[in-house]
Amino acid sequence: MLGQAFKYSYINAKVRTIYSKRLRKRDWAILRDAADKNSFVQYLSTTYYGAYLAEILKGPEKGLHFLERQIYRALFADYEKVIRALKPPEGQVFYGLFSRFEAENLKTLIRAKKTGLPKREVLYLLYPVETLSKINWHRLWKAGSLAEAIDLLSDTPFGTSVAHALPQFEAHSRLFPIEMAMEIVSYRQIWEVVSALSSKKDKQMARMLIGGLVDALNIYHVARLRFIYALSTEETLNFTYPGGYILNLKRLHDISRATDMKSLVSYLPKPLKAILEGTDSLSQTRMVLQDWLLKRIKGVFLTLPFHLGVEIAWVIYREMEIEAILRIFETKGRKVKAGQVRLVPETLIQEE
Amino acid sequence: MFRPAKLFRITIQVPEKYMSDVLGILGDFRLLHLININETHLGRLGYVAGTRVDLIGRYQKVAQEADKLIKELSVKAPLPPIEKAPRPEKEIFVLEEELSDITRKVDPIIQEGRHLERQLNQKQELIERLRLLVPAEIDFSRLFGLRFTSYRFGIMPPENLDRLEESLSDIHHALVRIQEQREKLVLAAFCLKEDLPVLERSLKSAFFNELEFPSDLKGTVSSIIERLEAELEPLEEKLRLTEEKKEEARKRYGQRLLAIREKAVLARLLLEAASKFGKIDHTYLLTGWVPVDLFEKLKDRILKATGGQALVDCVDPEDIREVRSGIIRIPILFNNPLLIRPFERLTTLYGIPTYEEVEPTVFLAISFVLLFGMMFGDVGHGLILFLGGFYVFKRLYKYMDYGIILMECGVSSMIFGVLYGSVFGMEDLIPALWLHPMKDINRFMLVSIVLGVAMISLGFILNLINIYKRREFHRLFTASGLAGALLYWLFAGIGIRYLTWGPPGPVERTVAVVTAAVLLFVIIVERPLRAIIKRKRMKGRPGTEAIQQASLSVVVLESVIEALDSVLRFLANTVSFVRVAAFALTHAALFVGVFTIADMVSHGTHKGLGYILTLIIGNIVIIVLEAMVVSIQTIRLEYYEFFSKFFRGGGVEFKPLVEKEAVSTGAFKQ
Repeated sequence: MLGQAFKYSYINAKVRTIYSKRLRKRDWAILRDAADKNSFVQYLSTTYYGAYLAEILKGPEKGLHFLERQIYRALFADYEKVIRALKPPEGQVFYGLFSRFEAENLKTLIRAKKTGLPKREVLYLLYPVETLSKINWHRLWKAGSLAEAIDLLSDTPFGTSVAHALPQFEAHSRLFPIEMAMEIVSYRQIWEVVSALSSKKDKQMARMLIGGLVDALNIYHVARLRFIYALSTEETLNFTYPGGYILNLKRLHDISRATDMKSLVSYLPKPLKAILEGTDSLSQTRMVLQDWLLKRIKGVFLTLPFHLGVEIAWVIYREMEIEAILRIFETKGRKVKAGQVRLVPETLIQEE
Repeated sequence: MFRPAKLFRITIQVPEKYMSDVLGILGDFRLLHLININETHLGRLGYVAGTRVDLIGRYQKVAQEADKLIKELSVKAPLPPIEKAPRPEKEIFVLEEELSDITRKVDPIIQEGRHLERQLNQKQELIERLRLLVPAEIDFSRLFGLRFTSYRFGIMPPENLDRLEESLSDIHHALVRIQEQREKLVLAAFCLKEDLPVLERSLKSAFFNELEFPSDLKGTVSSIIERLEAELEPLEEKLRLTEEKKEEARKRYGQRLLAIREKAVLARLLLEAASKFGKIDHTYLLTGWVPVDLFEKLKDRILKATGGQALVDCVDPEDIREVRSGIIRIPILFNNPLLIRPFERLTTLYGIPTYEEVEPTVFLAISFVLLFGMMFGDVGHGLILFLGGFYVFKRLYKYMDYGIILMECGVSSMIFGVLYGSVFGMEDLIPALWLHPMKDINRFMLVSIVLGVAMISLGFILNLINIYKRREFHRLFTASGLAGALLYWLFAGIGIRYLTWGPPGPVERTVAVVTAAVLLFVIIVERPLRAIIKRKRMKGRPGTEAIQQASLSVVVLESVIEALDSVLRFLANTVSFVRVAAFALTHAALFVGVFTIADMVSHGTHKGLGYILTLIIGNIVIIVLEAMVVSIQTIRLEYYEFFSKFFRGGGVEFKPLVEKEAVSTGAFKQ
């Protein structure tokens, strides 16, 4: 216990300080009611995110992706702080979580290489991962062809999985298998490092929080694969993310059989079934699941302080906060009335 | 040697029917710098000869096919010299026939070889795939006989197995783990025939990569592998026999194929050059530059080949008005002996000389070799450089020039090695005939500076010659002219006097100060005076307002600054030569380092494998590193301290009609 206190006292204090600067009910209300993108960004710059918005305030560019690139720097700065303060294997958990964004960038890179687009054309779609990432992006972008880029990936944690998916890409020229392989490998990495944690409490908290995140993502993901992409039950199951907390393989198989949202909910175990009862759209499902996860996260800040859960809870919280900011921003300039669509999970706006 | 080869401008008029022969003769001579007809009056009037696209295409095809056979047969023989250039219109028939004859004989051997290689590869790959199934000892005869069951063999990531198993839980299935190696799981999956689509979807989404086997396999995996391995032997034997046949074909046809390719490339280049010719009715017109001593020979051959129907004229460039007025520049054809010639590459890297200046290659070559040897003096290392250069000279035709430079530098290093008494860094094997750089540092530095003074002085002298050649006598009064040279020699004299006999006396000092002041004054007033004279001459002429309005005080100020800058540069240029001593010391100091490490490795015993290995590796590092650094420093001294004193460049390179190297090294494009 004393060891845990020594290990986490500094970083937990730091995280709690940052946590105290999260957006409050009033901020959400002002952002929601902002007349246009300009006033939205102006107000956001008065919050914690102001330090990351200098560029967007200077220039005329006020597009969603531009804001996304700027604002995600706040999240990656938090990752950096946490990783700097924690040694492996604890720090590796955050590298694992961070690798999801690397996977997203790799997906964009691979699509760009396939269509022959240069980096500048897809820059707006890329997360600003360079400061923390260990992947040599410069070399990857310099690769003359998709095959060369995939070859270069062999030095990265994504290499083996991509190599397994490559024959399918070569046979049908579809990037989907490679993209799925990348996503799956990033979650598998998280799970491997969580399993390697030495402290029982750390492991338990990591499983609960990251597992909860994976559960929420899997429900949404299964719904998308089944109802939008019309994949078969077995394909959907094989493409789910590993490492859930409540949803084991059996449960995932059950929900992969669903033919609509209602049947999907009916296959879920009790706690999840209760919160998702009555939801019929994907966006609503996502919001409800985020709310459910945020409640767990808030609970972490109320329990005993010296464990890894605090840091994990914070980076997930920040990620959801950013997603909500971007969702509101996207509605600016469109004719969406306030309150017409739920854009922010309730738990985020409860506090004053 | 000090000046480029003298050239004549020639004009050749040839009737169309003899054009092919004349092209061949020009190909034989090679030393013709063709003037593009489009740059002459005739060209501008549209009298331009067309190129024989069809013929060029045929030659290109011959060259490509010959090259293909050369590669297939792995011909590595030295390139045959083409003594007589082909006559493009006639030669094509000969080459096509000869190539088709060789192809007829060689192609079946190549095809057979390819077929056998393909068969061998297929069998080897199948064996590799079957080896993955060895632990399961599957009997393919029984497997192919299954009526109600489908199966798939493949490799997948082992971590996906649980989910695959779960995804198949709705159907009757069996997943058999055959073996797992390096993040790859070899798996056999079975299901009922009607469930095959489910199985396939599941396997695909679990990133299962199927291993395919031909349906005619019979028996167990081990027996099939045994059988296939037995089949490999006769195939390998057949392939060996085919290789022997290929070897025979290589010996018999290799040289001929190389000659065909070279001739085809040469003919194509000659035909392409025809686009630079002029044509009026049925007469071709060629104009260009040839060395004076080749003109008569060329004329005789052309007249003989055309039965006297060609007209070959020559004009001395002195008699061409455009040349005199500088509109047309004569290309520069270097004229150096074999040992100096490779250094032309270094000269042209700096600039192409003009006819109005001294051709500096010979000075560059001598000083380069001298400076290199001084900085890299060691008998052993010199010998290795010489041998390396000899290898390049003999084996790598393309880099032959660098081979010669390396050999010369090696000899120079050996000579200085004898003077320094150094053999592979060991200074006790032979006596130093001159000095040990490490023990006689001050003397060596003095020698370096004297060498620097000598080289810079030579630069000044060459510049005075250039001033005379260009008739730019006003430059005599500039810092780079006679005034500058005298000032430099004055400083150098005082410096040497000080270093060898001590400080100069009062009379010497007074004379030196007065002389230096006078020379500096001359250098400073040269520009303003010239500006005043120019202004007076131009007075009243339209368009010279800018000259008239230029402030004289600014010119004076610039001149003063330039003069002071020149004096500082004299000092910097000379001191720069201290690096010769510095790098010779570095060379010796590196040896001290290597020997110290070797001592440490051998614990002071001076023997053992570690000691010898350290010395060998140390020497290799010194040779590679130092040779590179010393070369760069030598080039730096040549370009910045020496060439900058006199060499302006800006000439036109002599480009022969057909570059000898371009043909022999395969200018041919796929």
